[in-house]
Amino acid sequence: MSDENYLQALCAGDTQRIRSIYQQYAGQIQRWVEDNNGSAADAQDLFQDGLIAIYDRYCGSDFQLSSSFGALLFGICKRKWFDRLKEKNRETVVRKVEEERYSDDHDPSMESEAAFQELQKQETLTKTFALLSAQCQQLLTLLGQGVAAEQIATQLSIANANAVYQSKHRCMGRWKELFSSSSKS
Amino acid sequence: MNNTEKIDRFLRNELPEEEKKAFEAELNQNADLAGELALQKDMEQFLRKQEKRTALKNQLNSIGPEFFQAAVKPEPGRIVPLQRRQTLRWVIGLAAAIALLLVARFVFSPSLYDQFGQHPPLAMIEKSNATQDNLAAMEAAFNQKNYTAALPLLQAYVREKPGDLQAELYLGICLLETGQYADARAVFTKISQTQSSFMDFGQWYLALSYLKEGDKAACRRVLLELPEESEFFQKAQDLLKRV
Repeated sequence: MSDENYLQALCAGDTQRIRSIYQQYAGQIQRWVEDNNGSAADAQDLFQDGLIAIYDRYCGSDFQLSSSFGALLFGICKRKWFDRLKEKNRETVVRKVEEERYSDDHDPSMESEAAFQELQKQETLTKTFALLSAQCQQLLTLLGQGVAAEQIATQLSIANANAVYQSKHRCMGRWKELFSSSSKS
Repeated sequence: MNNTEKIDRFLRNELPEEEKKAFEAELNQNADLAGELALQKDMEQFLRKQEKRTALKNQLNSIGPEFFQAAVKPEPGRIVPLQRRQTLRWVIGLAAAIALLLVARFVFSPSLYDQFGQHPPLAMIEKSNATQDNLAAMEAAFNQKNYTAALPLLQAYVREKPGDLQAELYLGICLLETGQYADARAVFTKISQTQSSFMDFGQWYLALSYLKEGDKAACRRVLLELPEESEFFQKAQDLLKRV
């Protein structure tokens, strides 16, 4: 299957073809993670995060895949793993891995770094969104699904469409605050 | 009109022509405003993709184990030169020493509950126009860790708005922090049984309540029930290693 096909499968959520992405790359990534102080479960998490990062950056956006799908996926997984090791403060391990990092020429650094950053952003959006009130979450979700403001007003017992937008602005404002304070820390 | 509203109306193409031009001119001058615009665009996109992204995550969660469960075969007959073997032994020794140090740090450091019981800030003001003052006082008290003061305010709020899970969660945290374990657990258990974005919080805090009270067995039991897809799964694994 071609790289373009892998990407399409991911964007479309095509289970059968997503399986073949795993088939193709899971073993390679698991071996790398296990060589670098991780478990099979770690590898599974990383692999999943890698795919989600690609989804976040390339599905429904104008970005084009310029490196190979496998190299990109591997690049993101590595980047994420360095990050997790640092979090765990296992310095010796990081140092050891770091050497490999710089001698590694497979890593399409720029592209995987961008996808990794996108993933981080989406995770922060997810976390801070969950801190909004239930009413805000419902209202924003419905708007995001393209439900008309009038209908949302009826559904959430809000006076009218205008008030729905007023609430939206309040909720978005709050969300922006939470996002900014969360990305600073 | 505040920035959020102006940006929103700009993105929905609802600003009158003149205001739109002025706004575009301002965007070129004002990097902060441009940053806010970018963030709001990201949020809109997040909301549009949210449903599909969650579905994809669930899908990957169920596909993953098929490919990662079994241990990979060891690479056959890899020959490790003696020099590297010695280095390896040295690295392992060092790692063991560091592990010991870490253990020592945990033994002498603040209690596990203090390490894991980090509460997210309470943020309720956007919820209503009416009783803003009370909400502000409630947020302030909670965020300053003055749980005794926050407790009655949250109780009053929950009485007024039953079913607001966010408020109930924070009520539970106040009960927990003021040592009213049974009441706190009743709240967390109820939240953990809902089908909402708060259910994992309920389960996690239920575990923390046992931890705080010193019932490690019960704490473990609750942690083990946390599903792998939970936001708290990783934290739970870390805590499990240490109770």
